[in-house]
Amino acid sequence: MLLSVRDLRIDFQVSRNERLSAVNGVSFDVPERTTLALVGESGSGKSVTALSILGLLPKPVAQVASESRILWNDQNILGFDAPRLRALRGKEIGIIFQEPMSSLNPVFSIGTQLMEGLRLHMGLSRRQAQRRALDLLAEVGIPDPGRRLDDYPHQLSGGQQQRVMIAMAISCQPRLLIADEPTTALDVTIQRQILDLIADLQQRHAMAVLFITHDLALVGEIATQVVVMKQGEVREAGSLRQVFDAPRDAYTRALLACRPPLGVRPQRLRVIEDFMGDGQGTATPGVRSRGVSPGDEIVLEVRNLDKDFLIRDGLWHKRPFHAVKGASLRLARGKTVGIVGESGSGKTTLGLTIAGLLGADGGQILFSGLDLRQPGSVDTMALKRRIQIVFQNPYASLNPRFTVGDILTEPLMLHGIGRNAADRSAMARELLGRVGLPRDALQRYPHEFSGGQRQRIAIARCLTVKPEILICDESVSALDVSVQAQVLNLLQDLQDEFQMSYLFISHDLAVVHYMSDQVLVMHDGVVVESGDADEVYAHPQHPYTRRLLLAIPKGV
Amino acid sequence: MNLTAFLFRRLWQMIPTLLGVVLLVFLLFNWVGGDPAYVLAGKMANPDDIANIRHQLGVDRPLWEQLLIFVSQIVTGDFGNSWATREPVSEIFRTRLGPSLVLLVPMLVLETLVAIVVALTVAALRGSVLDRTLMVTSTVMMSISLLVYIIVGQYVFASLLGWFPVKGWSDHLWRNLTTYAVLPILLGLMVSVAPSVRLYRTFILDEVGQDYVRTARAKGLSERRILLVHVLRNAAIPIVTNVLMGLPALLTGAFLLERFFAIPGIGREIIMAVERSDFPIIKAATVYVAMATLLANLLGDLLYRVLDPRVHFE
Amino acid sequence: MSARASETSPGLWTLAWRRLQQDRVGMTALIVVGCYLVVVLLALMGWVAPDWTREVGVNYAPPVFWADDQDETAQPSQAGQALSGPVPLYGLQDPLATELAAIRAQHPGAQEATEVPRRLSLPLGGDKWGHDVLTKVIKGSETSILVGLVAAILATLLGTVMGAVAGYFGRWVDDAFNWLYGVFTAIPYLLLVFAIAAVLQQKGVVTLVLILGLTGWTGVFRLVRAEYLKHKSREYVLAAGAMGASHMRRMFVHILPNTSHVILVQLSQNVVGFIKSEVILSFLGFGVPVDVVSWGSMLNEAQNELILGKWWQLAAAGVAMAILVTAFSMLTDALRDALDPKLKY
Repeated sequence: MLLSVRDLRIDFQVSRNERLSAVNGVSFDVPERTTLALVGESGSGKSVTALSILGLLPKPVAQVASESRILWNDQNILGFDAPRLRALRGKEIGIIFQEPMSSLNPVFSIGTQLMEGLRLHMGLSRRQAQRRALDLLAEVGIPDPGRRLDDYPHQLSGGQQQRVMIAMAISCQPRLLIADEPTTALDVTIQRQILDLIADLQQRHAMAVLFITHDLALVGEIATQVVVMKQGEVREAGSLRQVFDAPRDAYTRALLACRPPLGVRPQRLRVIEDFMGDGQGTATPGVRSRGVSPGDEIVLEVRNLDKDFLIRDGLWHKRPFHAVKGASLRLARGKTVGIVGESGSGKTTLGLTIAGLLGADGGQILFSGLDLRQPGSVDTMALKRRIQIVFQNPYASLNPRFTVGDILTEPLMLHGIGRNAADRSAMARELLGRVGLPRDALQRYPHEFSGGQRQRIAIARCLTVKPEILICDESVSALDVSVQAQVLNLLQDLQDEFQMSYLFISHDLAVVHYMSDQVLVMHDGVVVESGDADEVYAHPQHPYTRRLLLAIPKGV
Repeated sequence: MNLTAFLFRRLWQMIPTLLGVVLLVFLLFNWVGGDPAYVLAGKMANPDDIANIRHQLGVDRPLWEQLLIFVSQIVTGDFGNSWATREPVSEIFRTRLGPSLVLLVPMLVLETLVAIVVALTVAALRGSVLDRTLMVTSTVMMSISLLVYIIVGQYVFASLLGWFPVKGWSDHLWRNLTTYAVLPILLGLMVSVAPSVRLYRTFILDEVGQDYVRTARAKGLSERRILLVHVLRNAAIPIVTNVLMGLPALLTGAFLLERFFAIPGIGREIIMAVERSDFPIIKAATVYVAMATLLANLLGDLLYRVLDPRVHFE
Repeated sequence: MSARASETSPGLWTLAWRRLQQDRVGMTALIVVGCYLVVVLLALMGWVAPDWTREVGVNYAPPVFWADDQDETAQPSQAGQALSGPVPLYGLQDPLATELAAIRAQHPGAQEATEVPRRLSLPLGGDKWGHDVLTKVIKGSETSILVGLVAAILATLLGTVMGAVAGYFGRWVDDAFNWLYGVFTAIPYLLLVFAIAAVLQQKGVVTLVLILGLTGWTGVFRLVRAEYLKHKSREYVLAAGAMGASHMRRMFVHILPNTSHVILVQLSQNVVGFIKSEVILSFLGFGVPVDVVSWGSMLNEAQNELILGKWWQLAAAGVAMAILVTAFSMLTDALRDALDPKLKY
């Protein structure tokens, strides 16, 4: 066995008298030349486990229990002294991280950083190291490596940075490559390339790979062995086929089930309680039908919308950067238009512009026949009620100094809803119940709630003013898959109940497909394709859409 | 975008700030300050003398004309004569600059070097007893007034022990550096090193927490190389910028040192000018020191861009 | 601190307070600062150290604990000498002769009128005229701390409002305030203060507070502006905007409490900075008028006394200031840690 982890226990000393158990008795084996995926949601301890193998955890804070063993060729790494550990790092075991940008030293050229390990571990001369660095860059698919060698990390795209990180990790022919969420920060199309590269290198260099991810769909693409973790413990371990086809653990079953499938669209997504709770599942069988019929009332129409940002260019000039170019869409009552695109596609800018949080530079936004861009044409206060927005980051979207009660009653007060404070408070309590939060949450502060709960509070805040249109800007992207499913179900229920229209913005193609009647595909500020959701996903017309759909990890 | 274009733009951007400084100084002395003739004429004032002085100073003219005079004074560098000593102001600044620099430059260099070395040491040993002791010591050292350092230092090391001259200055650079400037520089360091150590320590610790340090460790580099190559090279960016931006603060310390040790520098001249209400000197000093500060900031900005490959001359 | 602190769930202020309570150094510093403030308050009410100008001891009366080592018989003659003529400076040139003359001119009447028997030693010694140094150091603390505190509040208020407006509205408003900031920071702080002190001929505590406060807003401005730039595009502010909250409401109800940790730390830092500035200004004679005692004016007198070997006034003022400033600096550090927004969640 190449690597054996035995009864790994890691505690974090959070403050003087508070310890937090991050990993609690984890054991698994990584055989030679295999790819083992360590899967889990946030807080599962998967990354902590990975970092502990190379002794990269912050020293005084993270404490590994003395009975734990990490065996490398039958020798306990945890007992290594500093020089022996250093000889292992980079030489025998390479590692890549989630954020390639911050993981590379910003002030040294990539050539310098690549050569550093080569000269240290392989004893190469400067010239030899440089030649080897060129080969490595070529191997990981950096075009024109000779010219790239003197580039600084910021001059490379995110995908290329991760390629450089990979080149660095494999530079000394390690026998194990640890990949800690290597594609999470990247767009789907780039993710696909990096996954292919890792799989290719694993074969060519006969390495073992320890692949850490939160995304079960990725696991199916790359791994042969799977370990599922939850809250510092191993829930299930086995071969890929066994875990995917016949999961023994309820949690694994739930994880596999709660991602929206691409093929069919269930009435409601299955959630973790369906598997783990006392059997009181909320899943209802049946398939949800989507699509817009010609007779549907159009509540919002956007025509040729432009949004520019000014960028400094040269000595005095400012050059407009077209974030959104000529975007058009029609949103029917009670229906959802999904907007998909990768980072920088302009999808969020489009959402913020429609919400009135950014001023448009051209085109029309017609809301119930009124052009929102004509100043004075509408009463803005009354209008603001009717279009609301739920943001991505649940930690930034609630004022940390307000109680949940303050957060929910503020819009009521601003719009003069409710007769008095007690009245408004009662309404807020009502809404909390509606989004599935305990009613006594009113007096508590946002920091006491989890990400999913906060997103519920943000949704409740929008509901206070009974909007007709809800813009969801990556509203579930920051959440764990199991929580994602719950929030998506909530949004679905609310739409059924209040006949709200959604503008659902996300980079996640599966989620957008599940939520949308119609979709818009955006690329570089332009809507490259739009139409009925099922139609676009089944028969993409534009090459970009096709590329995007091909990049989706197929999972099982 | 190239360097000259960057410099050109930054110098261009300085103009409004400089105009603001000129306006501020002008309003302060010619409007808030009231009629300087009474200050000048003193007790023997009779109406004729005052009118005469007012005419000489130009304060009987409208404000905008006075502003023009002030601007032309700045441009030509001719601020007239000191009210107290009748010495031309330009001459005062020309002759007093040297001693000030003899004090300032070694102080700046030594302070930076000492602070970086100490900060690196405590950052390497962060959380240890030495780190905590040094941090507490530096807080206490910062809390003792510069005046107390100077008074006690001068008394103990110069008057009592006789290691250094109590005060004085010579015409020879080397003699000044080795004899007269030593005690003032050491006392100045006592005060200025502590805050710099604390600041540089945070700069270094900020970098230690970055992801690329984890990468460097994962490559198998030694802690020493990580700190001295990877971390220091990054921390150098805020440190260098800060050294130059911190010049004005150092200047303040130099003012007092010059005064106590009777070093014929600009600082002592300014303090004497304030005591004597010698407006031409104060006005000239304020405007020129502001210009020097702006140039130091520009230099800091320039170095920052040279050191950080992420930033371009835009 | 906050109205919500009393409710069932701990707010951020409560949590910060709990963190501060865990910090032993921070709590000690808080208690020390509190003691100083109590003394200042008592002095302000006139309950302690009512009159520092009374000449209760002989000239240069030594501190009680030091008096044994001194030749007691020498005291009267030295006192007489000091009363009858100028204090000999042993041939050294006195750089502050003009100030001393001014101070002497202020007091001759008081000296002659004194007929009560003078004490040979005082708790912390006496100065040239036999003023009680303990009383002086209490009154000096009152002056220096009050000047520092009030000026800091003024500067922080100014900096906060300007920083909030500049950071929130951006564009030309930001440009205008940034220009003002550039102008004020182009001139080194103390030089600017000197220039104003030179222009304003009348000395006084109020003038001093105004000078320090009106010039010292730049640090707060820079940080508050940066916070507002950061927060105005945070999602909770955008959400408030989408709800129809006015600019004023977003600026002061939503963002301001979330920048309060920065403001509080800056306020605390400013108090220390202004106390130091006041001491230097008063030392040089540009600060408090001669009939007011502050740490700075005490150090000024002490400078000449030290040459005569009379170290107690210097020690009293120097130590009183060092303890307060140390405590305040440590409190600032503790506040910064306790209020760290990264620990909120």
